[in-house]
Amino acid sequence: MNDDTRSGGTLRLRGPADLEPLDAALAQQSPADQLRRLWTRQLFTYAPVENPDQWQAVEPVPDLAAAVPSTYNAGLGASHTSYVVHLRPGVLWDTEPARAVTAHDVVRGLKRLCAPVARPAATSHLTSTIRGMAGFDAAYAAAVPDPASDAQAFADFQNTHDIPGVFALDDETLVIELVRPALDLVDLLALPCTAAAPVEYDAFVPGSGELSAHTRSNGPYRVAAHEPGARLRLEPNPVWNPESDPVRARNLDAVEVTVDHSGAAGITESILNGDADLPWGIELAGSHPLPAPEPGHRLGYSLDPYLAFNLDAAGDGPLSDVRVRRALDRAIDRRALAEIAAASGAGTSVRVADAIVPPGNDAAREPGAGPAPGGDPAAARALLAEAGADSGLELTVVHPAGETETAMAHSYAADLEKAGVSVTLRGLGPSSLRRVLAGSGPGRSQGWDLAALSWSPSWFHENARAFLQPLCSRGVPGGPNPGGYGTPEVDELVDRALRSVEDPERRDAAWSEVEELVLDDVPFLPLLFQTPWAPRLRGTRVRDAVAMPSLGFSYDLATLRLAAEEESLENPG
Amino acid sequence: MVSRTQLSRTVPTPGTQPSGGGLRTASWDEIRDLFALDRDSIHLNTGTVGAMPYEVLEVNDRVTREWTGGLMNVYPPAMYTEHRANIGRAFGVDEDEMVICHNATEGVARVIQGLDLKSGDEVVTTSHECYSVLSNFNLVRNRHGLTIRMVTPPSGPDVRAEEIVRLFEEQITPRTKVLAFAAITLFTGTMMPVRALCELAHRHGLITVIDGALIPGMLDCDLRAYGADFVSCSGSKFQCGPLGTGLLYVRNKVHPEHNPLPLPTFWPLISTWYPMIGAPPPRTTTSVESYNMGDYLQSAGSANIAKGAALARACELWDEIGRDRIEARVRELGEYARDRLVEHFGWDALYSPSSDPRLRSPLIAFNPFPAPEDAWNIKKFATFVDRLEQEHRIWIRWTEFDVPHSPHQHYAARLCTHLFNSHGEIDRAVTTMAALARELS
Repeated sequence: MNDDTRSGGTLRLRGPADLEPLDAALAQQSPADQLRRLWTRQLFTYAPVENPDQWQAVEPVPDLAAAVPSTYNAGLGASHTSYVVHLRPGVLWDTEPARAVTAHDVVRGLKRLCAPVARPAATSHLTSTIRGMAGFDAAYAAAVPDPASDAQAFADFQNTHDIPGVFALDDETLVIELVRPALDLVDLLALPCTAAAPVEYDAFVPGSGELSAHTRSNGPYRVAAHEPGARLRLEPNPVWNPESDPVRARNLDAVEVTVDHSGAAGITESILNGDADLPWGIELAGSHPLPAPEPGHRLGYSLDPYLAFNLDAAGDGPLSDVRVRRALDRAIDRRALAEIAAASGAGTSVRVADAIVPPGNDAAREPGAGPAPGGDPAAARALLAEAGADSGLELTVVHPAGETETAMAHSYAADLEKAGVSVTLRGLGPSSLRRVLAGSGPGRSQGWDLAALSWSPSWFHENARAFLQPLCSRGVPGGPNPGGYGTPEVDELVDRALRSVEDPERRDAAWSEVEELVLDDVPFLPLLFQTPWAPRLRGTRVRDAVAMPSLGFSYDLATLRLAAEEESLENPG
Repeated sequence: MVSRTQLSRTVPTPGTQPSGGGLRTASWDEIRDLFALDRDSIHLNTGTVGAMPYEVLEVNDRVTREWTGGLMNVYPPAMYTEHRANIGRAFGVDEDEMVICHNATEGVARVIQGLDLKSGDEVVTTSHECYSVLSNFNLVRNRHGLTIRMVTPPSGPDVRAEEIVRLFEEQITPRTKVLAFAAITLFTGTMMPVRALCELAHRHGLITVIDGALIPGMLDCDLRAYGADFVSCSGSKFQCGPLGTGLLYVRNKVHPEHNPLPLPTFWPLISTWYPMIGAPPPRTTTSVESYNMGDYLQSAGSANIAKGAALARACELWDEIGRDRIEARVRELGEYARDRLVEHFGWDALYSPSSDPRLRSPLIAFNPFPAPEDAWNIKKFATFVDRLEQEHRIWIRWTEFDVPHSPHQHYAARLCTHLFNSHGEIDRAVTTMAALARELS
């Protein structure tokens, strides 16, 4: 703690991101993960570590769990398919009266991931890993097919069906059985979506506004006020006990988040003039020289952005023809996009994407091994002619409505226009974009042909599947593969890679084949790889701010402090 | 028995009191008094750690004192030449094939790391091996790119030896180089069909690595006759030497009647006396060694001379009592315990193979709880073992292992009998376990 810091004060975040849903079961690489860390807990999590190159920054630590299961502590069998997790004592829900978090709450949290209205992208990681979870997931979808079902339908299914490989031995201990060894299981169980859920959540539809209004906490803060789409205020959870929480602290009187669409300049100004302390849901660096330097860490880049084709809606139209998709790939000038990203003020290191898996992640290819970066409208036009699609091709692109994303959209739209394609851009806010993409599926076009998305490593070692599984297998609506790409060959290769954890050579070969096959199929267009190099913008009174890779390099709100008012302008943290 | 004169060649200031010549005919009750064990404790966990005889403890203490602060040359006695010769004789092997090491883990690690394995080679082993075996093979896999093919041995009372051999054989491919298995598995107490598996290895030209941690002190065995290339043993379990002692047999000559295969290429890792320039002579193809592989492995700087002497004394005591007699006693007690367990818990409660006498050992793993799902409830087993210890001074352990075709990791209570146990102890232990299991069920 610096001399000028104090306990207390209200931390103010301001920016354009959605607050909702508050329900962790829907958590999927959204800014809200930064907030959920304050009121939800998983079996495992990450500790705030200042230097991201320290292994401890990306190594899961026990959270609800008393220890990371290992062979040494009898938590992990020799075959690595059976985990025994003991919960730490003293973790309480802020119920009335306060009640201990139990192993049954962890089991409930995992079941809720399969609720047809939830199903974050991580669901596919878990269903392909935990014994019987795929069957549970399918049965859930069949039993509660209507997203508009009432809460009772969800609760009834969950309370009468079990995931065979997840069971509580008693209130303090649960067993998780796998279909095969998975070296990333502990990382998966550190994902925000795997948070424990109290029985009270059975009364609400997962992800609903009603649930948001009845959010329960087992972390240091809890929801004190929530105006959907506008404001969220967190205040101390009176039953949180720091002795039962090895990674979080509570140094603030409150955390206040205000949704503000005034744009990067407006948010920056608010922070610089002291009206806010941190940006909310917009990447702003404290400084941003041009050109963007190499990152100061060795962690994996994000695929940010990429354009996914709506193959589900393509029918037998032009986009169903891989030659057309290849032509569009050739058209886009990625270097121009890289310049936009570098100038955006986000403080990221930027590379032109020539593969699916970004550098620094497992299974990433050698730079330059992939296709040319494009930017050749003449070649694209020729390819379209070969495919018989050289006239009248009209595409609608949905993209995030942020300034940088919009600038990029105009750039690639112009490239496509040069190749003879007519492009309509639809910039959407986060919730609208999520709704549009989640509503996609076979036979449902939802009015888009290409969607601009990004995907980050959710964990940072043994993470080959963090990209290749959700992007390359038919997954969940609203996930990183909203266009519904998937082939039996790719699925078999993914499965082979997952089966080959004990044979790294075979595993790496399988992932490599997945990437080759998918790049050849062109279900999406990788555009850029990015990773932060600069500390995120923060107000002058913010102290002890630690950027967490697991939170997309956002600051850990659980440990930061605020300077006393009189010190703040002179001693920026 | 090693004489004082012989001992003095290794430990220059002897003082061991021979235990007399009567042990061969001493009663088991008298033999029990040799051990540093409380009369009111029931030690049924020798598979984890044995109990040292007082005399072994005294040798350890005395030799420690003799060497503490002395200025004698510590290196010659660190070769344990006489001890190795004497201990080797008890196990049917020569001094150049016997090494005193720190424990079975160190022994097997030095074997696995010393094998001349390359990328693409395959090893067949089981999921019921000690973690030190599995972790060392994984290390070599990571280092050299091996493939490890895993057998999950069947468990239950009606398993037959032929079934186990068949499962191993099914995993052998043209790339297989090594067959590795425990002589007695620590999780289910399965006495593996060692000779049959070694013959299988011989038919396929494979190197055999045996985790023999539980063998010395339990069985009156001829390590050479097993036909294996390497057997790594504990000195502190059934042999009842000090903690931190082990024995390692390394085949160093060819006796075709036991193992007709040529000696494998082997790199004696951790060695002072391996040549500093050049290489040892070619490995022998006859029954006469071309060099002393045991010396290469034994020479590893200074050694804990007292522990080596104490282990040697434990082995001498066993020779005095009679290893054949000990094995018979241990097995008889084991069968008695098996009968009592079946009586209280039923035949199907046994995880240890029992109907095939070739697979029986005095380590018996069983499920004391009637509810099937308790078989994968670690807490039940941990509570069971803890309460036996804390409330009844009965020491057993729980084990965890895979069962073929079961998605669960199973747990078992495991007891083992040794020469210092009695029928009365077994009766009391099994009756107590039955009552406790009922209470916990």
